[in-house]
Amino acid sequence: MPNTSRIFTIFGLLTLLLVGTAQYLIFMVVPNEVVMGAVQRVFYFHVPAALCCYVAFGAVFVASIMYLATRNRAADRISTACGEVGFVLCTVTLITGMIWGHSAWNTWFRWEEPRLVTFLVLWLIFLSFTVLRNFGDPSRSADHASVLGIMGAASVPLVYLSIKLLPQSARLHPEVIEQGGLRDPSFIWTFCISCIALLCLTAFLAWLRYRIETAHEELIKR
Amino acid sequence: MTPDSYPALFWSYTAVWVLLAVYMIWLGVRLGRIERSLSVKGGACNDSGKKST
Repeated sequence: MPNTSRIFTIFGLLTLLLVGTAQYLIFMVVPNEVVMGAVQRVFYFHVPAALCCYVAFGAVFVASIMYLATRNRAADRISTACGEVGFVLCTVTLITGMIWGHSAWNTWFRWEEPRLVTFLVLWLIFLSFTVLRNFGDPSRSADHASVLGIMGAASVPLVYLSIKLLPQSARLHPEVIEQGGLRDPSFIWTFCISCIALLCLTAFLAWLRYRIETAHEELIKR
Repeated sequence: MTPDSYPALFWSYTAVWVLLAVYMIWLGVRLGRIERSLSVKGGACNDSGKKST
């Protein structure tokens, strides 16, 4: 156990270092984008946060199926931890996207934009998941939340594809990576390091949440 | 740099870090509380074990 604790501390420090490096690159190294100016720097947090929430929801999908198939408590703990951390990152993506949208489109939210609406639906599903996990009937919430988690994670491809189903002229949400927008090497490096930093932060938070769940179950057993 | 976009940039990063910091503090407090309860219960179990022997 002390060995695990040491690994946890080292991993936390490594995450802190990576996040610090990413922040330095975002604000001190990367040049300003020509059209959007300084606010484009939101992109280096908005896109990695969205990618990390998709990864976390993917983990919820696998862990929930494993729990329903095998009744393995560890799988349920992973589902709880990843679902909650994914929800926090989903909130981060939504907030940064809305602030960017206010600057670019002069409105906080556009109901005609399918990516935004489907993402809001995803956020609402995982809000219900988190509420169910924290305040639901403990004897039944694991089963119900697993089903909800599978449904929520299954809607991730819909969020991703929602914008691609529309004709090019009707798309509002930018597709920077798909359209080869990151031409300057410093843009690419900053984006890659931001993604790695956010991925480590996601894993660190999920591990911390998993430890809470393990300790809570041990407390109930005693 | 376009000064008009500074407030948006400032508020988006502030919102992100405040949200993440609050979440991390909440997790830390929760873990600490559970571990304290566990150690109290563990201590109580040890005491009752000693008394019974």
